[in-house]
Amino acid sequence: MVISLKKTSLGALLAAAVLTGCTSGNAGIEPPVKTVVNPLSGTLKFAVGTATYDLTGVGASVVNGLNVVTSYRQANGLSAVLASTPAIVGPTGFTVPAAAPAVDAGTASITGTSQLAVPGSAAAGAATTFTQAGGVFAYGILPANSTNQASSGSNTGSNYSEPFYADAIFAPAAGSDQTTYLGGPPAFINSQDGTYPGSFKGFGLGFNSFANTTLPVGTYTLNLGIPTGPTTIGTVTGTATLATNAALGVYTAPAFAADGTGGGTVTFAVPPRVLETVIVITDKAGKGCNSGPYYTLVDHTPGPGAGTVTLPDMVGKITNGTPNTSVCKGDKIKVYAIGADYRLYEAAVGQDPKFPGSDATGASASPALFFAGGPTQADITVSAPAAFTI
Amino acid sequence: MKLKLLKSGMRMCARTAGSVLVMLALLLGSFVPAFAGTTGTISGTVTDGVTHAGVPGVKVELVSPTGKFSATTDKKGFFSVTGVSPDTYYVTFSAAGYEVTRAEGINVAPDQVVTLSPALSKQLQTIGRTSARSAASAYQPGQTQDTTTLTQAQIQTINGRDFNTNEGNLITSLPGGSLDANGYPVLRGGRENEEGLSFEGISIVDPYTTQFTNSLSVNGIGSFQLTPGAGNASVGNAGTGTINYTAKRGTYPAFGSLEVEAQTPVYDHQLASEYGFATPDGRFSNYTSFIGQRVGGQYGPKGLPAVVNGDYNGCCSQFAENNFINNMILKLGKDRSTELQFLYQNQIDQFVYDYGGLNGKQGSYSDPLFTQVGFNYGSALTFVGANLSTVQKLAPILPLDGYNSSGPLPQTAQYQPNELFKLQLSRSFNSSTFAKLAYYRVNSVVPFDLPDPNVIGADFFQGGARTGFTLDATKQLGDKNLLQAGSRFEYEHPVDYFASPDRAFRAVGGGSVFGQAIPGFAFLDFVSPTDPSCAGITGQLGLKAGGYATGGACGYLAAKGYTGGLPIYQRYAQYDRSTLAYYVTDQYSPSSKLKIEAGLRVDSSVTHLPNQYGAYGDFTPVSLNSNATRPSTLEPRISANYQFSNRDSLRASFARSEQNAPLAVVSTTVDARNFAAFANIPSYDVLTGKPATFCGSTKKATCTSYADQLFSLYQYYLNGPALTPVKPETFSSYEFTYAHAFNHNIAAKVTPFYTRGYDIVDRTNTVIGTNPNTKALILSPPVAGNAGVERTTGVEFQLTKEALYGLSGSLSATYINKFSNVPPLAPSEDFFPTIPAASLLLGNTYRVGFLSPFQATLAAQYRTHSGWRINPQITYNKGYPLNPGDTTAVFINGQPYNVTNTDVTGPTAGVNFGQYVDPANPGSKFNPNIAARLGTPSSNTAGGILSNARLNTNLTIEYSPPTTRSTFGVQIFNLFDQIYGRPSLNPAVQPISTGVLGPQTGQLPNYEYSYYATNAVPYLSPTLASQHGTSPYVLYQNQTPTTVLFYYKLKL
Repeated sequence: MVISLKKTSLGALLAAAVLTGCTSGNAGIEPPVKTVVNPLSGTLKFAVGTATYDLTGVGASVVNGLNVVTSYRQANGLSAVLASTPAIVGPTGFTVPAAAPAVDAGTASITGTSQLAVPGSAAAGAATTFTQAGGVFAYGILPANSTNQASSGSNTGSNYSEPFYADAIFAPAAGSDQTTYLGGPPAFINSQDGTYPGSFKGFGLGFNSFANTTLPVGTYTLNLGIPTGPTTIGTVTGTATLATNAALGVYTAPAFAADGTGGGTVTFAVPPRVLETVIVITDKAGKGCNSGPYYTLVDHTPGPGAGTVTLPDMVGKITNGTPNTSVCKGDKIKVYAIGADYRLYEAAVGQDPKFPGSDATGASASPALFFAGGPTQADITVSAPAAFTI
Repeated sequence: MKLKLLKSGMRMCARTAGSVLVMLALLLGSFVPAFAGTTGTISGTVTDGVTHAGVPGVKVELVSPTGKFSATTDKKGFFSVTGVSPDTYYVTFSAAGYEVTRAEGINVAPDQVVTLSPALSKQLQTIGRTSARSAASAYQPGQTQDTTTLTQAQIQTINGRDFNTNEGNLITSLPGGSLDANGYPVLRGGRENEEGLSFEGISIVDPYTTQFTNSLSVNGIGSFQLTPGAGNASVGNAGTGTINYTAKRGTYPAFGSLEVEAQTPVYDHQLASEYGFATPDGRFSNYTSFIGQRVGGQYGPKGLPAVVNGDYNGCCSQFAENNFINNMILKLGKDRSTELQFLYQNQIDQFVYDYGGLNGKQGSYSDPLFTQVGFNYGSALTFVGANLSTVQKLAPILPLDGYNSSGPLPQTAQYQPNELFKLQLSRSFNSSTFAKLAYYRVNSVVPFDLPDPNVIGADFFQGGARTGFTLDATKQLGDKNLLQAGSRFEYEHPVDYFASPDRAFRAVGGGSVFGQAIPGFAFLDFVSPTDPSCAGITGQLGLKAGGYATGGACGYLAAKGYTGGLPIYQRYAQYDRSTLAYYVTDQYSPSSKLKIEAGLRVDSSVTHLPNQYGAYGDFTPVSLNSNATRPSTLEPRISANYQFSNRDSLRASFARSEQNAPLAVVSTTVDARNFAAFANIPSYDVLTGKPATFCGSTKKATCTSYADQLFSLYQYYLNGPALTPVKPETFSSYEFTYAHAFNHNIAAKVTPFYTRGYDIVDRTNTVIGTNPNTKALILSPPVAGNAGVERTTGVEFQLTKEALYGLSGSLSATYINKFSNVPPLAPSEDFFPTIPAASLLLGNTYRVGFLSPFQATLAAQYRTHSGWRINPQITYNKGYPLNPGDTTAVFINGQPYNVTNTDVTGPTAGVNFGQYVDPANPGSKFNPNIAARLGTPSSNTAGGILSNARLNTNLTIEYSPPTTRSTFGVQIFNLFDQIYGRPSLNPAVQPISTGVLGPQTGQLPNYEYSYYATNAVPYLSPTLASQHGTSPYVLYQNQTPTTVLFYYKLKL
C-alpha cells in the first residue's frame, strides 16, 4: 500500500510538471485586441468649388482658387480615422501655383506626407502642402492626424491658415491669424468653457481653399491614404465635379455695431449666388476682457440681399460655469463674412445633433452638402476682415 | 484646536506607556534572557503513562549537532527550555522508576515554541516525531502567530539545490509572499518600503530606501521564516510582514561541502563552499560559507539583445557576487550557559547594465532604464531651445563629445556591497530564563556607476548604515506564562549623493516636475545678451531680447557682477534618525489546548537635524512639527491558538504595527552652500522684472535673494521641501488560521486576513491657490506626506508533506485583494507612490496594479534510498493588472472630477489611456467624443484587466551515490521555455480606428528593430517607438529562456 502510494505520487509529480508546459507555452502577446473597426469603411464626402478671397485688407488683392469640402466619418458622425494622408488630384489643366511646397508646386496634385515616412528620410523631409500631420477628419482637412500622448491632445482644434499658398502675397505686417476660420458660439457649441481640451479653440468649418490654382472644370479626385496597420496603407477614393469655374463675387467686409451690453449686430451685403453666410468674429482682446474666442453666426439670406445677425451678449468664455460677455470695452475684434452656395454650416454640424444649429435628428455620417435646387459644387467667397475696437 | 489637543493627549499616553515598558523591560532584564528572532523554546508537561499525573524531577536533555540544553520538570511535570538554537534536536526524558523516553527530529525555529508532552512508562519507548510537529509543517498548534518556517530540506526543495542563493524563490513559495509586477518580493501585498527583513535579528534594509540590502541573495542560512502581518510584539518596523532568517552554526561532528556549478547556454558559473565545526565539548564552533557567482543576463528569447527588448527588467546583462559569511560561537562557563557570538557577512554584488556592446551591438541612449536613473542627454540638450554651445558654456562638464556618438556606450554598473557584523552575548541563567545583548552594524551604500566618467551626474550613491543595540529576554513563569521583553536602539545614517549639470539646467528652465510647471526661466539670467540662445528663448517666451541693462531679458547676473555658470545640482541625504523600541509579550497557556499571547510594543524615533548643507526660507527644519521629528507609535498585539482536536487548531490575532518612512522621503535636500555666490544679488524674475515670488515650500513667498531664488528652483526640481513631515505608517491586521494535520505527515492551513494601512507614505500636490489671470489651479510642489490608505483582504494557503524519503514538499497559494488610493500602474506604485491631487480630493480608491491577485508555488521532491532526488519547482500567477482604465481624476474649472480617461484627460500620474477623442470634435471632458480606441480589453478603473497567467517550471534531478561523498545534479530552469512579458500600453502607437494601430505621425514603430536586425550596424535610437514594436502592448520580457545548470557537490 505504501509502495503504491509512492509510485502514484511520483507519477503525479512528474505529470504536474509536464502539464504546466502544455497549458501555456510561450506567451508573447498580451492580450489580444478584441475590437477592430475597418478604417477603410468610413463615409468619405468630397466636393470642390471655387474660392474667392478678398485679401485687400492684409495688403494683398482679391485672389481666386480651388475650394475643397471633404469629410471622412464613421456612422456616429465622428471622424472615421485618426490618421490619413490626403492627395487631391485635379483634371487636366489643373496646376498648383509655384508658391506651393516643392513637391506640389507646378503639378496637378495637392498632397500630404505619409505618416509612415521614416524620420530623417527623403519622404519625411519632402515639403508637401499638408505635411506629415494633415488628414481628413469629420469635417475638413486638419493638421491633427496624430494624437500626441505626451502633450495630452495638443493637436485637437488645430487648423490650417486659409487659403493655402497665399502667404507669399500677404503684407508682412498683416500676420496670418485672420485666415484661421473656426466655429464658435452661438452657432457652435461653446468649447471655451474649461471642460474642453485646453488646446481646442474651435470647430473646423469644413473647407480648405488653395489660392491661385487654375480652375479647370472636370473631375477632381481625392485619394485618401489610410494606415491599416503600423506599416501598411489602404486607400479610399472620392471624386467631385467642378461644373463651373465662375467664382462667387467679392464679399464686402461686414459692419459691426456693439450694443454696449456685451453683444452687437453684424450687417452685411450678400453677394449674388450666395445662399448662406457664416459670420466669423475673432476677439483678440486688446485691453478688453476676452482673449481669443471665435464667434460664429449663420444667416440664410440669399444674395443679392442684405443680411443681419446678432451676436448675443453672453456667449464669451465661460469661467467656472459663468459666461462672460461676448465682447467688452477695449476688445479688438475682426469680423469676416464667408458666403457659400452650399450648406457650409449645416454640413459641418450635421454630424452631431448636439450642436445648436444642427438640423440632424441623429448623428450622421453623411449630412446633405448641397441645398435642394442649389448648385452641386461648393463655392465660397470670403470677405476682407473688418476690424473694430469695442 | 480640539483636534490638536486630542492628538497631543494621545501622544502623551503613548509616551507614558512607553516609560512603563522601559521599566518593565529593565526589570525583566535583570533576571531573564532571550533574543527575539534567533532562538526558540521547547516546553511541555511530562506525565505518567498510566495515571496521567505530572511527573516531577524528570531530567530533560536536548541534544543537537550545534549544542546541548537541559531542564528538570517541576512538581507538575512541566519543563521549559528557552534560548534554544534553531536546529533538529534529540530529546531524552529520564526519571527514576521510568524507562528513558526519547524524541527524535524535534525541529526548533526562531521565535517558536515547541510543545513536547510525553507520557512516561515503565517500558522502553521512543516517541519519535509523534508528539511534536516539524517546524516546517503547516500544522503548528503551538504557535500563536501565523509564521511559516522553512527547514534546510524545504529550502533545498524550493530552490532545487543547496547553494542556490535565490531569496525571492523562498519568499514567494510561502503563503503571504508574492512577486510584484516589477519582480520584487512583497509580503501580504505591502509595498517595497512596507516590509521587514531581518538576518539573525538584525534589520537589513537600508535606511534611505528601506529596500533589502542583500540583493535578494542568501548564503549560509539555517532557517528561513516569513511572518505575514505584524507578528508578535517582538517584531517591529515590519509593515505588512517580516522575513527572518538565521545563519548556520558549526557542529560536532563537522560538516562541509564544496560545490561547483556551470550553466548553459546563458553563462552562469558558481563556486561555493561551507564548513562548520565545533569542538567535542561544544565550547567553540564556527561556520563559514563562501559563494562566488558570475552570471550572464538574458531576457526574452535566446539571443535577443537587451536593448531591443527595451528593458533589463530588474537585472542586468551581467551579475557577479562574492558572498562570505562567518558565524563564530564561543560558549563559556562550566555548563556552557554563556554564549558569545560574532557574526560577519561581506557580500558584494555587481550588476552590469551593458547598454552598448551587448552581443556586439550598439546601445541606446534612450533605453528606459537609462532615463530611470535620471540622466537623459536628449532632454538636456534640447533644453528650452538653448543651443549646445550655450549649454557648454554654462555647464562645461556636460559630455558634448558623448552625445550623438556613433560608438557604443560604455557599460553602466551598480555595486551593491553589504557588510554586517553582530557581536552578541547571551546567557541561560537556568532552563527557563534566557537573555541576549547584541551590538550590530549593517552598512550598504550602493554606488551607481553610469556611463560617462566626465559627467558628475553619472555617478550617485544611495544606501546607508544601521548601528544598534538590542536587549531581549525570555522567562518561563510557572507552567502557564512565557514572558518576553526587550528593547532596541538603532541609529540610521542614510546616504544619498547625486550631482548633475543636467538637473541644474532643467531646474532653471521653466520645465515641469510631475506635470507641475516651475516658474522662473532663470536660465536667461546667466545667458549673455549676445548669445544666440538669448534670442531664441526670449522669442519663445515673448520677451524682449538683449541685455538686462538695456531692458532685455538676458544677462541679469552679468550686470550684477556674476559671470560664472550654473551652480552644480548636488543632492544629499542630510538627516539621520534614531529609533528606540520596547516590547513586552506574554504567552499564556491556561490549558494544553489553548495559548493566548498578548503584547505591547512602542516604536519611537527622533530625526536629527544637523542641516549641514544649509537651506533658505522655510525649507529649514525649524518649521517642522514633532509628528515628523519625534513620532511614537503604540502597538498592541493579541493572538490566540486553540487546538480543538489532535489534528485541528484555530488561530486568531489582532495586531497594530508600524513602519518608519524611508529617509529618502524626509532627508534629501540640495546643497544650499552652492548658492553662496548669489547671496548678495537681489532676486529677479525675468518674466516680471521684479523679485521672484515663487520661493518657499509653498512657492508663494517672495525670494529674499537670488540665492534663495535658485535654491528654491533647485529644491522644487528635487521634490519639494527638504524635510517633510512624514509620520510612520501604521497597520491594523486581523487574521484567522485553521490548520489540520492529515495522515502521512501531510498538513494544511488556510489563513483569511484583513489589513488596514493608515498614514501610508505618498507624494502628492495640494491645491494652494488659483491663478488670478488664467483661473488655473496652483498646486504645491509634490511633497511627501501620509495621505495614503490601504485595505487588503486575502486568503493564504499552505499544504506540506514531510518525508525523508519518497514524496515531500509544499504547495502554497496566496489570494490577495488590495485597494489603495494610489492610481494603479502609476510610476513607482510599489515604492513611495504619487497620488494625483484630484484623485486624492475625490477620495478615490483603486485595486492596486502591482499585485497579481493569485499566486501559487508547488515545490516537491521525490527522494529514493538509492540516492536519487527528483525535484520540480512550479510557480503560477494569474497575471498582473495592465489596462489603463476608462476613468481618471482631473481638475476641471478648479474642481476635481472623475471623467472618462482619454488622450486629453490622461494620463494620470503616468497611467496611460486607451481611448482617443475626435480631434475635430473632441467633446467636453465630461462627455468626450471618443473616435477610436486601442481595442484592447478595458475596465472602468485601471488595473481591472490582467495579463496572461504565467507558469514557470524548474526541474532538478540529482544523484548521490550512497557509498560516496559526491552529488551530481542538473537543474533545468524554465523547462518549457515560457517567455512572458511585463506588458504595458505601447506609447509609440495610436489607434487609426478602433483596434487598428498605426505609428504616431513621423514615427515608425518597428524602424529601429528592423534596421537593427537587418543592418546590425551602429545606430542611435531615433524614437521611443523604435523600442516598443507595433503591438498595443510593450512587452518587457523578464523571463530567461531555458537554461541547464550542472553541479557537482563534494561532502568534506
